[in-house]
Amino acid sequence: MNTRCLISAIALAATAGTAHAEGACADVEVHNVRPQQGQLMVAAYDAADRFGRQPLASLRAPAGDAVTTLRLCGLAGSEVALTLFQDLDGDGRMGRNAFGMPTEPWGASGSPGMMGPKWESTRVPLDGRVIVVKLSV
Amino acid sequence: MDRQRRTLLQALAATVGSAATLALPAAHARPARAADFHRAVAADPLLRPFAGVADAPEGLASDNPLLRGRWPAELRGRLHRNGPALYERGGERYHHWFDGDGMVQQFAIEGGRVRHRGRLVQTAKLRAERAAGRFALPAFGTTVENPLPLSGADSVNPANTSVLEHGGRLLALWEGGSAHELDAADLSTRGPVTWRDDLKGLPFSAHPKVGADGTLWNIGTAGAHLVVWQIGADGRLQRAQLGAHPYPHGMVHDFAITDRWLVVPLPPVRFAFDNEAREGPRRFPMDAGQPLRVLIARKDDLARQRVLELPPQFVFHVGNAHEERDGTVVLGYVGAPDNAFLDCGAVALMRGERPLPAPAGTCIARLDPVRGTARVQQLDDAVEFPRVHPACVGRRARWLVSACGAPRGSAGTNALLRGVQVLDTETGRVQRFDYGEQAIAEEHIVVPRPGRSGERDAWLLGTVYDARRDATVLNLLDLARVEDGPLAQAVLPYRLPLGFHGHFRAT
Repeated sequence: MNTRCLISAIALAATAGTAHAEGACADVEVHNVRPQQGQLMVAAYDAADRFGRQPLASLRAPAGDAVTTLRLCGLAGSEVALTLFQDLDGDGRMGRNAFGMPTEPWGASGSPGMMGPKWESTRVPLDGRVIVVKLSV
Repeated sequence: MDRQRRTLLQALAATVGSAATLALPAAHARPARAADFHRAVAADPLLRPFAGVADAPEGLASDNPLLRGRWPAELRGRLHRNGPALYERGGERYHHWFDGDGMVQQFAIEGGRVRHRGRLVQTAKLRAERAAGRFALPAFGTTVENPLPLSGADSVNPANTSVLEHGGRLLALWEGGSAHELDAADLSTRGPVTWRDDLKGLPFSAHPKVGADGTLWNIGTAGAHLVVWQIGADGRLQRAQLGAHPYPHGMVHDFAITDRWLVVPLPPVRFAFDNEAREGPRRFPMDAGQPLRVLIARKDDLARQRVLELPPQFVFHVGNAHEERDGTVVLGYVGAPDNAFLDCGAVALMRGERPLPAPAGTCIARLDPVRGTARVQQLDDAVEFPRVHPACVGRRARWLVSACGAPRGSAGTNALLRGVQVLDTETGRVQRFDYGEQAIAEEHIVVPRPGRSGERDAWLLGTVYDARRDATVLNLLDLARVEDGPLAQAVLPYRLPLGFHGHFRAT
């Protein structure tokens, strides 16, 4: 189902473990974190054709306060698109219900809109400025 | 990706919706501005309840409403009602009546006294928008700028349509998402109910039906999906059946049960939430010329189903259904020729304007699940919010109670509901009580007299907004003598927002 494709774009985000050590870094400010619950799973993409499939870098970090700041390294290029979800139950996957709707908070850089991220709407400049991501309600 | 987005939007969309391909004047698309509303209502006090309430955590409370008549000592219990209540935030006003955040009202009746409490349901939506200081999530009939991302339907769940006590739980209900459990002691919100982990966030409609054995049946639809819930009298999930929506993305608001069947009207209205107006009310197209479909499915096997067709009609609510000896399913519902109220009337109210009279009337359909035939008879009345005796849900009910419009030939100008009627479905005779031109009548619920089992041995409990007092009044009537008017009243020292549905539980 299409919903699943869209969700997998987020879920794929953070299949890897910790951030790559090399390359440029960015500070990521994550809002609306469910405090101290599970892990934040972050993936970074550098091109439209790799978006949702092949992250340039990824990060898994414990969820902190309602606004949690992370440092994500291993980045390159002039633009990046971030996708996140909060793995509340610790199963390493983004939860979804029997209708395919997400059951764990997700978010993306830029302006992902209400329903899901795509490269065009989530890419932001990689220029040293803090990247803000709001997790879903 | 556009297709994916549309699919997700439609999957999330499951509230009430519609709109005919009527040649509607452009005025219907005008947005509701707070200043315009308050100016209009100053000249039309009957619409003051649509001002709603502020986001006050303490809610409303009255231990000593003005009592009139005699409240019977043997009447003990809690009437809960729910409805949209918070319409404005950060200077913005919702465009549609159904958008408001839900507020549950509790009338506790005991020892001839009545006590009222009312609190907003503390949903994730309400909390997020309180924190944002603005409407930040899309509502049924209103789009918002820069919306927050949604986790699912519960991100936009206002819990504003009905409320029910079942299996030891008090549940505030909406159509497109989870039920929210409340604490009956203080109406505080415990949170969304997850019946089973894989069913988290699935729609649990606002019109569950509780059969004679105490089992609660409910449905939920989203996009192309359908779920049927079966909750035991103990409040535990017995079974959830998943299936395909026979009219994908179509509106499903209410349904009926019989001994063997689920009976679900499917009015010819599909949601198109991705067709968003940048400003003003969202519109919902109706499939012109399409029939009123009725899904009949076996309660014990959702896959055994059939879709019957009736002439085009719009439906919000069913009254009841039962099976006759020959297998015919008789379905009572309120039918309207189009969805003008949903698309226009409920928007006009938010602008402080009265809707045009909505010619919704009682309809009795006879459905043959084997042959697939269906026919319907519409009675000459103007009603909404039909109810029957709780012991008759899914079985033959003789007396059908509804809120009703002005008496025929009335000189009044109140196009809204203003009375209550009891229809004898065997003779067609109707008894009515009219609260008057300065009143808006709400749903009246059948409350059995303690120790009595006769279908007519019951009271009616219903609220009315009285514009002369600018107050909400709880009324108690004798179902068998409704034309005599209230036996007793409790006049609150304030008005409540107009609500939708409720439930009484004896204590």
